[in-house]
Amino acid sequence: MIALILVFLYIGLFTIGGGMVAIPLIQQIVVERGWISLSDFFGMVAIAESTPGPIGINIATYVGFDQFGIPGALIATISFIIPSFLIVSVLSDLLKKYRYSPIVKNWFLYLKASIIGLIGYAFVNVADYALFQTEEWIDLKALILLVGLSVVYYFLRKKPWIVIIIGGVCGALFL
Amino acid sequence: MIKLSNIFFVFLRLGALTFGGGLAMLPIIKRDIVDRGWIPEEEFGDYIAVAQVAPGMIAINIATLVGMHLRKRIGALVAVIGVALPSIIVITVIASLLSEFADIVLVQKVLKGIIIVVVVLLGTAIIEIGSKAIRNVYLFFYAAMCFAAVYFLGLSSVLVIGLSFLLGTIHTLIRKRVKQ
Repeated sequence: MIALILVFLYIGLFTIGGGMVAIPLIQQIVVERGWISLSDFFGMVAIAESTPGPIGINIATYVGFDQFGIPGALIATISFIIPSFLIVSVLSDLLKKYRYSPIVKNWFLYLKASIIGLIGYAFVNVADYALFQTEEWIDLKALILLVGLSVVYYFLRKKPWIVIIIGGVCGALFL
Repeated sequence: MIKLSNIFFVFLRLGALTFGGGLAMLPIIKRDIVDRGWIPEEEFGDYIAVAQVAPGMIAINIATLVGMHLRKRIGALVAVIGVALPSIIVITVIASLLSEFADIVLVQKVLKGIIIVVVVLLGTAIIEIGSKAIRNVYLFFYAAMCFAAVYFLGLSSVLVIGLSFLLGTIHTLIRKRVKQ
């Protein structure tokens, strides 16, 4: 339980740039420690994306619940929120004042590039799990669905939840 | 003075009705909070910038900032609880149901379909964030190096984030020296 608190305080402190960054951070720590299997973790990400609310909060709640039931869900989520809540509520004036200073700009120059690398890590892991965990060299049905859903998402810009419903229904029918 | 219960319910609704995470929330936050006159339109840009610069979820950070602005710390606390509560309830319910249904083949197939959507969403995020963030070939190599460090060498993501702060600091110091 204490490990759960510390891990989510740590993740909360280093999640910079929003929920997408929380996915690789949580994956690395939680899966490497053997708390949750990779396939279960991706199931959690799928559910976090298809339910309302911030994605990072959804994953934190899910991981906590998986480990210790309802108390775990509450504790993981609260631990995850505390660092940013304290930093933002104490430093909001300071942050507003310095957000255009050269050093902050340069931090984000590199930070944003590294975030692409980290999201790329999550992307490759999920894609590998979705497409290549099969006896054939690639799961052809999953690949066709991936291409189809990419096209649908492109034409339905900014409506992820519709694509999630389509993805779930197609999964039930074809996979 | 705006009532705490008002703050709570506005953020509760925000947490309950937005799909797709913090960035998807921004237009709805604007409608619910700026158009209500809770914060001036010209300050909203500042809030978004600070929410992205600070650690943590963007939605939580915006809730903290708006709550602080309206009713100091207690307002921030109420707003954050409001925005996080729907997630906690919905996920807890789904997680407890799913542990019973996880063995059903149909449930597994639906999840597999949604995981493919996650691949699409992450791929799109990389293209969208990347096209703005990677402004030159050095940053492209830096992003590729960060990926390799985490994927092939198994280094911690936190180390990579720390390195970015270090490089940003060095970059700024060198610029200062050059100017002098």
